[in-house]
Amino acid sequence: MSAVDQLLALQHDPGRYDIAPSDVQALQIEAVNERFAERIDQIPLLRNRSQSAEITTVTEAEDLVPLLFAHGAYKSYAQNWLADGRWDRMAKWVGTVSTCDSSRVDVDGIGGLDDFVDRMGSVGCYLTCSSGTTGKPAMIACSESDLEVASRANVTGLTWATGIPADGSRKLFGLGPRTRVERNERTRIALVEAFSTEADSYQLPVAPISVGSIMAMIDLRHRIADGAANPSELAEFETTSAARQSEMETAIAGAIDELVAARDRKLLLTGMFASLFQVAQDVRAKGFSGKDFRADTALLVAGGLKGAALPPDYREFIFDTFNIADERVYHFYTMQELNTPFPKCPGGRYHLPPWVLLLPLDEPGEKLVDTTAGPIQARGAFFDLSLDGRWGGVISGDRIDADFGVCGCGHQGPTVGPDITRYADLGGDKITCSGTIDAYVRGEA
Amino acid sequence: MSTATALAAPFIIRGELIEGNADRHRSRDLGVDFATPAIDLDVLVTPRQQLPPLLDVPLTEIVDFLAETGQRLALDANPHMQRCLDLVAETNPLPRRVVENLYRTAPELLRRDNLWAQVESNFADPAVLDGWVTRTDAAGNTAAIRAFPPRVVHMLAGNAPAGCIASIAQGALVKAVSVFKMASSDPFTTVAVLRTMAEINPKHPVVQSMSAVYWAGGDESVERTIYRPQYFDKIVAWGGGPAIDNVIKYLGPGIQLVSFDPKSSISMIGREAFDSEGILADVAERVAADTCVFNQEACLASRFVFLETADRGQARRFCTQLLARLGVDRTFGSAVAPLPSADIRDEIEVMGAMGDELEVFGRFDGRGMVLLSDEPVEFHPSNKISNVVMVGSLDDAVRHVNVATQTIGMYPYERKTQLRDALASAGGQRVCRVGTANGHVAGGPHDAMYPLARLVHWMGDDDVLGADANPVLPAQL
Repeated sequence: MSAVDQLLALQHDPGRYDIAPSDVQALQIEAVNERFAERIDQIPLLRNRSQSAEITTVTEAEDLVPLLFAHGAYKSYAQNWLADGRWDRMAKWVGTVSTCDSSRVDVDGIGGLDDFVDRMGSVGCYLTCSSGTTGKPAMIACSESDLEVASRANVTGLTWATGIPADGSRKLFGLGPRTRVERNERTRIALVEAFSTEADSYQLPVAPISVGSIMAMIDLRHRIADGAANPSELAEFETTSAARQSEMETAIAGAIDELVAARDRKLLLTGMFASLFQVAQDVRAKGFSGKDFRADTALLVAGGLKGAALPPDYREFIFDTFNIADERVYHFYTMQELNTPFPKCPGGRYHLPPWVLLLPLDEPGEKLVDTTAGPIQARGAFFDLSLDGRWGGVISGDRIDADFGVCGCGHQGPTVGPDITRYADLGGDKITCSGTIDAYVRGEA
Repeated sequence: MSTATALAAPFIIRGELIEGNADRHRSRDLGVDFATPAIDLDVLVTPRQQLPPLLDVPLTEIVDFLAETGQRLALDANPHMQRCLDLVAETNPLPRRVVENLYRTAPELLRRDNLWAQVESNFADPAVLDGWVTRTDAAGNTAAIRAFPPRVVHMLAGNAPAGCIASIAQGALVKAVSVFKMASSDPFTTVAVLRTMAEINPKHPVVQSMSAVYWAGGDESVERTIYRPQYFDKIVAWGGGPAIDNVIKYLGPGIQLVSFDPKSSISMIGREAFDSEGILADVAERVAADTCVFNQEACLASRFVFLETADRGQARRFCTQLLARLGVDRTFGSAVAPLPSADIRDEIEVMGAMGDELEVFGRFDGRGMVLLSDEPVEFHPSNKISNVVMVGSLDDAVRHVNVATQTIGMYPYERKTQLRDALASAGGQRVCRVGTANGHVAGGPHDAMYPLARLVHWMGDDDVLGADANPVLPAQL
């Protein structure tokens, strides 16, 4: 059995979050080398890296650092390829940063980005799209196996963190908009099938957002910057945004009624804090609150605030509204660039399983930092051995608190503390006379 | 960094040095801690009932005082500037030697002829700064006009440590009451310059009109309080970024932003550059000189080169020569500069790995890189990266010029005349001979405006001769 397979076999092991780092260290390095040997011929960017860094084998974690891809690698395409419909370029780019053999993709007659995403999917290369802070979304390729791993890990993570069994007995509420992104959809379905049923679950009825529609918005922004957008296009965009907003409000009103009607059921709520807060406010406005909901309500909440401005007590407000106890909240930390979510324990830290290496780096992302003295603030970097469609090594934009010691909850293994900050959000005090036309674009786009 | 090592960054309020370490801050670029006194908002504001201290001081006297300040700023004889150089070297990403060379330009910046050139190009009749100037219209009405001193906050940029000297001169020339908000990557230079002035004469009205302080850009407790038309007429911002986005929400009737917007600059090189090896070498050196100003941190530093050729072999020769010239030491740039951000490195690396998008000359060693492509790259080249874009004709390059394009360095020089209307129409602000981006003709406009004329409060005292400008209409029958 290969080292990779040995570690991935632990996905089904109940003790997977209680393994001392030193017990698996050697096996992890062996597994990284197996992945490296396989991927170097599949991912041109990795091949380049290996040549320029003159690294052909990883003997210790330090050797891995020059081989990691910064999160920016997945947004390194040229946006004008999208605007100009140069799908051959896009396909070639996907093939440069992932294991996808994009030469198998027929790009003839592709009508737009959604079409392109479908065409890539037809050869087993599923693209997800994340909106970044800089406005240029990452485009991340997943294989079939990545979708399976990611969706299953979410289910097992929830059970590990909250003790809630995957017995299909809950009514699940999807309180955020759905996306037409294969990975997100698979993850949603896995949750529904594990903890509820398709028939007994509720999904906010708004049209799913596609990768193409996100990108169209970004493209408009570029056209405004270039001076190529007409005033009528801008006006139309604002009308569309207003219509979407109003559709959302109608849908939320419907969701409130459903929630109130199902208040004597065992619930699992899912969504982001911003939409959950709005729902909670509306439920209160109808005169319902914690005493009306069962004491075993569970919550899965993804992501941070994503720029939404909420009052400081938004968590308490949401939890009190639905009678949610802390131990039945599933928080996790992950990023689109990885497969594996890291569930939060009752001690408040995020736990990494043994098939993911935690690699705390200095701020520039160039060197491993010394963790022997205990917890340390560092730039988060990871190697996710479960990744199949792309390289497992990723440097994030997050400042994390990393620890390899035993967690307060009693479990062994690497953990990440609750305070996670994007480096991009640190310090807004920069003023410089050099800049680009991006600073001249006003409005929602 | 521990408390013991926080650098002391005192304030200066109308000639009085204010020391203290009540507040600690961290510099944006290098993460160095510095300590400042607590900020007293009341002293930053001059009540409107008080006339500005410089109101009745003749401009000639102000220019004399600035010119003397220039002499006193000579680095070798000025302990404040010497100490400041040590401090800025710790907080600013520019190499110490470059900061030193910038400081050495101070006497030049404050030379009499430079100051007068600014005044005379901004004001048709500079007498409006010294008193009420009468003019008469065609109907014989007369008006007395005065360019009245404004109350100004200057938000200084962090990327040019000598920039504050130009701002101090601007403030003094329009007789403004000025508050200088220093940048976290240089919370020292303005205070050193104002201290030098105060040592000449602490009671001089120029000194009595100026204060320099630091607060973290965007700090609501300061900005929401003082950015009001009751206190200030104008906020002058050198550049863009989150610090400016914060200011915009305080603008409204009576308080305006005079913005030197964030800019980038380009070079346009005609096919004549290939007429001989000697010309090619000269043009490559000139493009490199324009690219490396402040290690490409300056807005006037070239980032894109539009090269008029369809011959890739020719373009490669140019790129090779340009790369060699990027890696040399210059007065205002260093042979080895800090590396670009990881995002930019990723993009260059991936495009390079695709094999047919970007041709990459050089490596990530700080000595500069040249990227040859058919379309401009989408990122903002910085840290000595030049993107050479092949164009069929320089006319084709005009579509890449926009309102963010400041300086356009051109070869051959004669083609400026042919292209300047189209460049202005596209939004460009200045066209110059390639290789001279960092030089200026004294008294020229900046970012498509004459800033001094925009800073003043234009006041009119009208003597309309007609009995009544709004007479009663005859009663309707």
